[in-house]
Parts: sequence; structure tokens; C-alpha cells
Amino acid sequence: MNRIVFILMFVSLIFSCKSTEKDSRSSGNEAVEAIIENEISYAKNELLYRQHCGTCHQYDGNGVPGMYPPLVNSISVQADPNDLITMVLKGITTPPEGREEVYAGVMPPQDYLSDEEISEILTYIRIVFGENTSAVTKSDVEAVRKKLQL
Amino acid sequence: MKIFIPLLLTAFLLAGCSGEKTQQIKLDADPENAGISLPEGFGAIVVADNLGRARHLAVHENGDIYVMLQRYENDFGMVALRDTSNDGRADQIEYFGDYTGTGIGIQKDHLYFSSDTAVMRYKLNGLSLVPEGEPEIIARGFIPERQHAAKPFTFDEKGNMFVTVGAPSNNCQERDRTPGSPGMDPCPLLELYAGIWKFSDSELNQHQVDHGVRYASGIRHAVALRWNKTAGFLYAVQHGRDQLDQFFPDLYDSEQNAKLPAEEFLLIREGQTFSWPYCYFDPFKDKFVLSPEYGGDGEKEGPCDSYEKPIIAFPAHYAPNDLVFYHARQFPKKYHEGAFVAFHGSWNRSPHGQEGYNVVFVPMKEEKAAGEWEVFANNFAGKDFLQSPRDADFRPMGLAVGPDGSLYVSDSQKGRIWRIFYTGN
Repeated sequence: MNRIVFILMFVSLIFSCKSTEKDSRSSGNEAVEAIIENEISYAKNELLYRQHCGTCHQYDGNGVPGMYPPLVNSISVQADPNDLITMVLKGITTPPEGREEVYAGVMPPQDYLSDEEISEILTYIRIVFGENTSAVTKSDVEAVRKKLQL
Repeated sequence: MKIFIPLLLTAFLLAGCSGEKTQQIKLDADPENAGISLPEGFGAIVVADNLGRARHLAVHENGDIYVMLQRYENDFGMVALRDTSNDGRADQIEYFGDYTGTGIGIQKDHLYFSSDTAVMRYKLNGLSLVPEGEPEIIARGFIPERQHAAKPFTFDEKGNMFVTVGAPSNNCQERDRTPGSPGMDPCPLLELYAGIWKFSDSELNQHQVDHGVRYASGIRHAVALRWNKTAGFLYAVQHGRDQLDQFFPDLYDSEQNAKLPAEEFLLIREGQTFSWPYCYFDPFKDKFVLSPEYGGDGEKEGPCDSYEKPIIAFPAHYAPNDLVFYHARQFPKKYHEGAFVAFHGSWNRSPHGQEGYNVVFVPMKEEKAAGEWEVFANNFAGKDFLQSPRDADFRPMGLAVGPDGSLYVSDSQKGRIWRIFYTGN
């Protein structure tokens, strides 16, 4: 289900951008191409997520009770993407305040990931686990990294 | 011998008066042993359910049960259980205590428990279920950490208490849990972490640095820690390192990560140094190999052959969270003086299914294992294939042997307590 939502969102994002430029040239072929393109980017983003985040947060985004928080229905995932980018770049050693659950795991800073990789991972997380929150772009990550002077 | 005969007589008399023995036989197992699988002739009942995030548990000689919690329930960090109707199920359930944590144990008429930074104790008066008064501090000064912060403890028979101080790290990398980051050499964490510290079991206010003695070093984290009075040695089951494939993808694939390294069952002698973080135990090669953070490639041994092998190499990532030695006599002879280990179950085996989530048995002879380990209690997870730990129905966490020789198991997922006994049927 999440996969379909993801693909549909990407298709609609691309069409909404493209339609302003080349309205008249939209065709069935483009739609198919867009779907294929997004299948590929979904698979790529999923792979990146699994490789860098999925071990702790688990492939299904449900985390590990008492160790790693779930990303599914997470306030942090659904909130301001800049905070989420900061968490990835700087890691988390003190958990956000006001949370009832205690997690023993520590999130290391992942500033070694490229802006593009972070944007792809966070887009995947927000759409698949955050349900319909907007994509994160490469320039969003670039701006936060610059601000944090990393 | 002079003391032994009157003791034995008293024991017989007491057993006769309290009906302890008949109660044991009268106990009916729950239908299908409440969902867990056991060897033939064993039964189980649910003593209590939905207690909260249960950690270790202790059973008093009068049958009262004390459970430590990881998270506050009704603003309390511990729960006490009593069975007043002799059906084996707790009907008096009282929450108490200002601290959450992991360790709990009864020693010299006191209920000892640990937060992540101290070991404390309450006086037990033998009558009231909930201890009265304020707790006193036995050991303190443990640095607050999040990773591997639990402080499980055990007692020997000479007035000593042993406390695990886990490493706040996966494998002592310069940057913890970061791909390719090298290991610090020597690892500075070994000074105050990654070992077992010895304290007096009754002196108040001992500080880890000023009063504690580092009894053993090079143990990453051992939630399962127990003195074995038959062998006269301390034992631990180590949580082995994580994420070999994630941080060293050129050296390990996901299948190798799922199988490496072993969870090591360690016989600990005073002053001994174990292999963390420099080497890990490869159960297939049956030897230690050099950790990739220290120049290893999955094959190289480096200086690793100097470490003593574990007495049992359990499968990787099973997460051993408690250990008891069976000194009682209720179970059949093969279990006498053997070891039970509770495995909380893995999280670091994806995409392969998660494993563990069981209680295993290891026969022991003197200080060594007398044979292979075998699964004793299983099906806690309630599923054949488990992708993610959260999907498990239950996760075995703590173990305790009751006064009649029943084995108690706590669960961290929902807070269920089982009592396992031998029926012979």
C-alpha cells in the first residue's frame, strides 16, 4: 500500500512540475516512463534506507522496543524536515523531551552521507512511514548542512 | 553435618506443614502451557500478565515475586506479586519503588535492585509484600549512559556482589557505529566500562572508582550474569558486537552478519581479560578473529589466540538477558546444576528472520558445559518468521528459580510472568 502511495505521489509531483512547462506534450508514454523511473528511485531509496537506517529502525520502520524508536507514526518524521535533516547530520544522544518511551540506543551522526543520499532516505521515510508528508530535496539538506557548518 | 541434619528435619517439617510439595503437584498447567512450548513432562502457568516492561525478577523464599521494570508503570519502577490463594497465580499485585532499571535479587533479607547508575536495597521483613522504608545505596558512581547502561548484578557466598558495567559503544570505534571508523587502540572505555566490578554486598555507599574492584575486563555487555555456587565461579553470557555488514560492507555480507559473532557463555576468573573490542569469537571457525575496526578481515587472527574460549558459543544476536543455575531438585536429574539462559531475541539479522526469543538449557559438570545446549522453552514470539522484534508476542527477559524449584520467566514486551514446573505427565 505504502509503495503505491509513494509511486502515485512521485508521479503527481513530477506531473505537477512538468505540466506548467510542457502542458500540451503530456502523453501516455511519459506516464509509463515516470512510473518506471519512480519504481527505480523507490527501489534505490529503499535500499539506502535499509543500508543506513533499517538495521536499527527495522525494515518495517517499527524500531526495536526499548532500544530504537519507530519511524512509523513518529512526530519527528512528520514534522519540519529541517529538524529531521539535523538529526541525521548530527545524530541524537539525548532523546527529544516529553517522550514517555525510553530508548537505550544512540543514533550516530551520519554526516558522511551525501546531500542526495540523505534527501532520498528522508523522502522514503516521510512518504512510506510518515504517510504523505512531502519529499525532502537535495538543496534542503545542503542548506541545513551549511547552517550547521558541517 | 551437625547442622545439616536438623536443617533437613526442619525442611521436611516445613514442607509437611505448608503443603509446599502437594501444592506443586496440585498445580494445573494452563491450556497449551499458555502458548509456550516445553519439553515433555513440563507445564507452565501465567503467574501475572501486563505488568509493564519487565526486566529481571527475583523470587523470595516465601514465594513472593519481585520484578524490576524498564519504564515507570503508575509512577513506580518495581512490582511485587503474591499468591494468597495457592493456585500459583498472583492475586496481590503492588507497584512500588522510585527507580526503574534491570537488576533485582534477594540477599541477606534484603531486596537489592539496580537503576542504570546505582545498586540499592530495601529491607524485607518477611511479612509485608512491599518493602517498607527508604532504600539504601550499596554501589554508585556508574556513569549515566544510554547504550548498554543496565547494571545487572549477582552475589557469591563470601559477601561479594558483582555488577556488569557495559560498554557505551558497539566496538570502541573512534566514531561509534560509523562505517569504516577505526577502533581506538588501546580502547579507553575498558578503564571504567566493559567489565565486571566487585563490591561488598553489604557495605553502604561504595563508589565504582573508589571502592569497586574490576573483577574482569573486555566484556562488551553482559545482562546475563550469575554466580554458580556449585562450581564456585562467576559466569556471564555476553552480548556480542553488532552490524558487521553495515559498517564493513566490503568484508561481510548480511548473511555473515546474521551469523557472526557468537554470543559467548563465559567462565570468569578474577582478573581475567576477555576479547572485546579487539577480537570476536567466530563459532564456525571455533576461534577468535581480529575485529575489522582493528585491522581484521574476517579471517586474520592477529593476537586473538591468547583469549580463553567461551564454554558455549551461542548463535549471533540472540541477546542473552539472564542466566540461572539450577541447584533445585524439582526438575528431572538431567537439569540438576545445569544452566538456563533467556534469550531476548535478535534485532540485527535483517533481511534474515529474527532469532532467539527462547530459553535454552546447558548441562553443566563442575565448571564446564557437559554437552550441547538445547532449546528448553520456545514459541514466545508466537510466529514462525519474525521480521521485526516489535512483532514478537513476548520476549524472554529474566529468569529465577523459586523455592519449590519452579523456573520463572519474565517477558519485556507485555510484562507476562510464567512459572514452569515439572508434572511428569
